[in-house]
Amino acid sequence: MLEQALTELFERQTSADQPPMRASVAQAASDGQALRRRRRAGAVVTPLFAAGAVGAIALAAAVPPGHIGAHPTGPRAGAAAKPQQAGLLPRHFNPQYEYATFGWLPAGASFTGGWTAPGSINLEADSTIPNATGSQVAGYSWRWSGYARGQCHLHSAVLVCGGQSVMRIASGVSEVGGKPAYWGYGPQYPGGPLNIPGRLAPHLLAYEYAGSWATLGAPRSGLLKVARNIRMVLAKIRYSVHLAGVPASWQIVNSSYWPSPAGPASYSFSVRASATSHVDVDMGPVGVLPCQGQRLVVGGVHVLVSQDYPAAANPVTYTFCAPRDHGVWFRVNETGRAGIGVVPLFRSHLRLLGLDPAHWTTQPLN
Amino acid sequence: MRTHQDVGFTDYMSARMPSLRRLALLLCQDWHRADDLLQAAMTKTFVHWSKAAGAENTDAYVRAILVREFVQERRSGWARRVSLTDRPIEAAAASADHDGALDLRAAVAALPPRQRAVLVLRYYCDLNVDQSAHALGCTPGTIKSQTAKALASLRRVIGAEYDVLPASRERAAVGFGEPREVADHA
Repeated sequence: MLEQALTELFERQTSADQPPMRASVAQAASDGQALRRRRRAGAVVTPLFAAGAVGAIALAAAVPPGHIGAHPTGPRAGAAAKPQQAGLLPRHFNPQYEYATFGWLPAGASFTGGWTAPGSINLEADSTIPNATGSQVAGYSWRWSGYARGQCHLHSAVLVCGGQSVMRIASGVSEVGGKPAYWGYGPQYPGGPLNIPGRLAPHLLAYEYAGSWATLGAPRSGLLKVARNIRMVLAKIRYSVHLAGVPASWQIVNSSYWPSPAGPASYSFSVRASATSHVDVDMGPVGVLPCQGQRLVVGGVHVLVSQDYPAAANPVTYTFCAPRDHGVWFRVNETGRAGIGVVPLFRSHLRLLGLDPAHWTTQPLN
Repeated sequence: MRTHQDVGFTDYMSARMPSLRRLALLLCQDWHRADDLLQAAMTKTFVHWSKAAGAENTDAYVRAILVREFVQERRSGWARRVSLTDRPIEAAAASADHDGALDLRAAVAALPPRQRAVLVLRYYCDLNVDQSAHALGCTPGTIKSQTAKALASLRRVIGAEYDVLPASRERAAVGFGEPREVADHA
């Protein structure tokens, strides 16, 4: 039976060889003490990656004049990121923009995408390595984060950004761009394959950057060069869907994107519909579909719709998938009462813009 | 300055770390992310240690922190990154599995986070519906529906390999029928 197979699978997974433990009870206690002190002091704790984005998020324009153009009406092939002069990171990032990119990566590594939220920007690069049978497996990864100005402070050898500890300084001081840089440990350790050589063991670097702070988790080899070659850019993110006729109060609160020939292209973003509701849009290649639910046909399109049973203490989540259109699965997930149901949203407000980012829009709302 | 309670936290967590780490692995399906999740959950547990230590079942309290942290964290954009390359990149396998088990593992890894969490709670932690509902902070009805959806999703992906029910009876059992046109569902 499937249930028994699941139990056996879980037992096998947990009894396999384990890599060295990276979590630390002592660090948890230390971080917890720092968090307690801040709460007692009445500081407002705003997690950088708050689930659901409940509550007002300031989206004050951080974009210099001249970079917010008219609504695009068609594709702009070859739209390149405009390099920005080295300056200060803004106090609030606009989630519809890409702000930075890797200027250099070690051989075999490639930029796989980033994420912009008001409090931080993130870049990720990955490499693959062949395993014993010759197939590609996940290799090393590089994860860079830049924090909005005013978000971070260094206290008792702990870098705290947005109210959360991002790194504990362990040793030594290097420099990046003439500014001090610190090696340490933290939850931003990147993933890596098992049994990696010691000289390639992941490290975490925190350094002052553009009036704020940045962190880079990566294999030690080449890490400083990667950090020293982060480039500031400013590019509008292109979105794979357009939502027309939605309330003017709807705002994009974070965007995930990947590099495309047409510039940064988003396959996943979140919209704050109200203080207690949001709409998430995701897409991905047809394969193992994350979609399930009741099969319906909406406007001639085969879709799957599911909803959690309403629970008094939790918001209702509706998930809507179009698994066959355009060769990808497309999912709209509404949490809370956004005012427009997912099926009417799809039928009357949403337009899929195809697979080519050159035809996507930089203004996905209205 | 460490209090007596803080010492209690260290003793408790040092003893529970191995089992919590295994739970985190099943939720995250990746050792490194599991350690990140475990670290975040331990920090939260420390902040609420007086409540956790005084709970009727401290293990259940801490497990709930870990599971809810996982479900919350997976909603973040960072965690939802999806690669659009044609060639799937598989996580390094720590043990040899036959093809069927690999399919099941991949299918479990592709489940939405809450459904995966429900399966882990029910079929690894061996919690009943009420206990699972407490861990996830939802109603027993939600646990039942999430379990059914997760199992149905797995069966659609891996076929009827693990089941004895004929496929037609299974479709009737989970309530899926032919697609129908809808005027307004909401």
